[in-house]
Amino acid sequence: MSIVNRRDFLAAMGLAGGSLLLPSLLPRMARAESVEAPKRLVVFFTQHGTWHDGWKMRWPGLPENQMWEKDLSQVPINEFSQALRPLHAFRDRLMVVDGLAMVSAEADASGLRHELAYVHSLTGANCQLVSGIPLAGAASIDQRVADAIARPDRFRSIETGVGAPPSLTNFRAAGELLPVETNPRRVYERLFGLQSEDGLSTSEQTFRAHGSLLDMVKARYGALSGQLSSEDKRKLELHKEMVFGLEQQVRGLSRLACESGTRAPDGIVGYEQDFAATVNIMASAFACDLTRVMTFAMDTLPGDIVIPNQPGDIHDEYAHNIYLSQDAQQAMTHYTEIHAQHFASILTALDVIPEGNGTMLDSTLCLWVPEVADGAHGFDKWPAVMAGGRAMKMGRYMNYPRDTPYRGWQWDLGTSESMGVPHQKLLTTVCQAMGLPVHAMPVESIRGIGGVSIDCRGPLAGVFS
Amino acid sequence: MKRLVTSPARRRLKLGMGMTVMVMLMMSGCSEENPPAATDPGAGTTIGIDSLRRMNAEQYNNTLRDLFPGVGFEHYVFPKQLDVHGFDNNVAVNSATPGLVDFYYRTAVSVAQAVLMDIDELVTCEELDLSCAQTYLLELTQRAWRRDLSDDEKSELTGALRSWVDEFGPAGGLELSIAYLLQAPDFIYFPEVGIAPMGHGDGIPTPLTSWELASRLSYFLWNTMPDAELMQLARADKLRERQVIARQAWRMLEDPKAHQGVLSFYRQLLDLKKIGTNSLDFSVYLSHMDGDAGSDYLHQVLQPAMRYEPEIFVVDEIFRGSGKLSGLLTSSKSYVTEGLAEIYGVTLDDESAEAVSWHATDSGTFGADFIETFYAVQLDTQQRAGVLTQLGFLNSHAKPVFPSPILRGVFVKDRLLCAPAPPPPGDVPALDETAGGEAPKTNRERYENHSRNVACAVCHESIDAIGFTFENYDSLGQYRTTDNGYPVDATGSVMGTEDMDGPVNNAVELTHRLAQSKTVHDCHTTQWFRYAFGRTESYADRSTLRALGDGFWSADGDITELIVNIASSYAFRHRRSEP
Repeated sequence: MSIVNRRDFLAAMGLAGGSLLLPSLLPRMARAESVEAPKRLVVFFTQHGTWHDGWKMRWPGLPENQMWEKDLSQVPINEFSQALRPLHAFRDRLMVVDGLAMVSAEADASGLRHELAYVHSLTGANCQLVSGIPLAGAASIDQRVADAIARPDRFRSIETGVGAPPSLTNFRAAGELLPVETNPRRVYERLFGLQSEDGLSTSEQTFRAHGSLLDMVKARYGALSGQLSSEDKRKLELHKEMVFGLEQQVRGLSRLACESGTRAPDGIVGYEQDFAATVNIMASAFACDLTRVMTFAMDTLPGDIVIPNQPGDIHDEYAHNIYLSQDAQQAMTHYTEIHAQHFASILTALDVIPEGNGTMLDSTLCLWVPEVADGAHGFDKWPAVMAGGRAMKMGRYMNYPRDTPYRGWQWDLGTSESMGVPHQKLLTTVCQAMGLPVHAMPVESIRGIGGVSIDCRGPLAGVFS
Repeated sequence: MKRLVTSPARRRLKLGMGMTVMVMLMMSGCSEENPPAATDPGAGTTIGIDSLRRMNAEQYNNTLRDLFPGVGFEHYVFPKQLDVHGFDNNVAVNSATPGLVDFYYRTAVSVAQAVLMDIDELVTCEELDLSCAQTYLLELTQRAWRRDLSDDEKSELTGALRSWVDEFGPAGGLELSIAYLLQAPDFIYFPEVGIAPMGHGDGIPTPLTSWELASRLSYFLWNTMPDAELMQLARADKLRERQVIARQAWRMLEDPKAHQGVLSFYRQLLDLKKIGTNSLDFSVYLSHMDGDAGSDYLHQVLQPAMRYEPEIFVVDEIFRGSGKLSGLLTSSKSYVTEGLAEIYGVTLDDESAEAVSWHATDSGTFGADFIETFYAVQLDTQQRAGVLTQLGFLNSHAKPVFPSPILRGVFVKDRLLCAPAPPPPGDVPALDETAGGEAPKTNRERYENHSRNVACAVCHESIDAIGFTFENYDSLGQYRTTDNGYPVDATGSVMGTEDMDGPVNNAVELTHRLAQSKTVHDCHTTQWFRYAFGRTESYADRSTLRALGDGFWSADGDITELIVNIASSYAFRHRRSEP
């Protein structure tokens, strides 16, 4: 079990190695962390969707266009799709959701299809154009969940990623984008701080000093905001609110005792190395209850990872050609398979840490969704996988008929006049699984073909039974 | 070896005052809808709504350096900031985030610790006692907050200092005080209330105070805090006079710090941070080296040089060369390393060529420690003309194997013509390389397939027509006359503009066309406006933009003059707040 050194926290808060520090050690104020496992959420977010035929699973007698579920726990590995095969070891903890669509993104004309997908995927809300940039019109579900489960004295949520993913997915509120930090070293430093070579000594006084420092900063934001115009005032009030959160965090972390085996990563090294480092950081952060909500935003896989001997540009040469070339279909299936390995690494890291009567995976709901559904910028057949957590019976493959009366852009079907189940239902499902009294996402209905009202409210059928 | 940063001011700049007179005449020309007032020739001009601006990463680092001279800091790397029109200072997306607030806190604490280690160098008193700490703190806060402090603010600061000193001693107390003032909104943001009392809410622009103007001016031209002279003028409330602002702007442009201001703009406009992101296919490029060697050479030698070539070029052209937009677009003089010279096909005479030692001033792709010597060269004027034909642009707007007419065309339209391409329609097939049954023979053919689909053609026609003119340059940026064994066809055209439509034969012709276009000059004015004001222009800004654009055009595209015109404009000297 990897846990975090108390010293690191102090250093993280800027309390180590400085001239302010007094020689006496902080009296041990550590208190045992709660024995009951907290609820957590991990969002694993990938680019370019998948090749649906390489992702989906089908069994005799279970027709494509009907709702059905299949018990995955008994499914042998050769019946797993190629793309999801790396998750076979977790088959009894998975819920694969087939037959979703981002209908609301199809109905929103505010941006490029990638941009629409970034915004709609985790918010279930329409875009709000800000200086020509489509930002979300509401908070993303990771933030809604953080509102409910984050500890005020710890990090509310961590948005991390690998490579240079488009930073347009996590929104604290309408129009308030949360940037993704892709340097694992910086994620580590934010959570655990820099290791101090000459050791650490500090005092309760120092914590008081930092508390009063942030108090004073907060007061200054309050005082100045009163003199400014409405919009400027809003910005300073928001900043002030965050200083308040930081203050609680500093006080909370200063009282935390937790030991770690995690070493500080070097920085950005390479796609796989950075991902592995970030997974380790996640495990340590969760073990010490430093945060309960974490997003992994994955950049497009580098070509040489997907096709080692013939590296190319995944976006242009493969993703875009998915309906035109078998090579592209194979490449994008393998592409998803590699991400399934990544997702499996996250599950493994959680599953090796005992917690309560089980493992950390039991108390952590992990959600894997992409931005667009496929490389040709489609929004239909949006592939979703959930794992872990206790709220839903897992080990199931859920298939939903794609009978939503909306004329979306569907490559393979050409003239098809229907799409999958609105993805708002998945987002609502996640919120409910995390214990939120949420019954709908911001887009509650969409006008479909013939003026039919498409109902986007409520959770996915059958998932809580 | 000459250093650009210490180069003497150009003669043209020494003529600053004369230019100023011209500027003033031009700016005072009023249209009927904006009748002049007795007090300010610009009075009555409508301006867009301003919102609270925040220091961007470069400004923050530059300011720390100037606030604490001699103290060694690391280059602090900010959490990612969203760009709008390529600029990272847009007020529409500058709200605080938890990660940012956390960053300010840690950085302030770390800076304060570093400052205390060198405090003896910074204070004038013998011993750091309460009185010494207090004197330093008040003087420092005035510089950091860029204004005089009120009596209340002084007593608040000294009160906190005193109680911290009681508990932690003078060093500890001063350290906390410094950590405080660096996190205060007065430092991080640029609060502006103007001289009119707040709350009238009628949307009428209010003149900014001299202090507020000192900050606007300094961060616009220097990308850092005001110097002593600006502070003095602000204290005497002189900066509200337009002539004083213009005179100061000319003075500031003669200071080497202006290079970092101007560079910050061009770095973002030209998207220089993109240079270094193209990982070439080494079976096609640099294939005489084995794979890893080729990759190392590209990423560690060539691309860093490509990244800084346009920076040196821009500073040289603006401050020592023509000073004009047309120069940036057409000059064939550049500064190269040995590696770049080889790709350009020029011989490097490092004995007699003018040499420039370039030290990176940002934390960009290649770090803040980059120092390299570049040599002045004259490139082949038939092959190269200005920034668009330099290796950095060409290499970063290309795919690993094939150069991208689309990326190149979109860039020109978006950044130089201010005609961003609309989003691609959803329901069209992806690029089918085998359309027509035959594999494309050339890169041009490959991309021409786009326009065969009517839905695509609507936009791609104008994008590709510009993009194809760059077909003489491969993904590395090398000049070529054949592609896959077939002669390169680099003909194209400009369409949809008011003054420059028509066919062109290649990129060199294109850049010369751009350099003579009012459309391009107007767009450049708009881009400078976005950068200077930290916001997107609105309808209310149209008369300001028209005046600035006309001034820029009649001054033959003189960039420093455009900068001074912006700084002394009515819009720059006023603020309109959300009611």
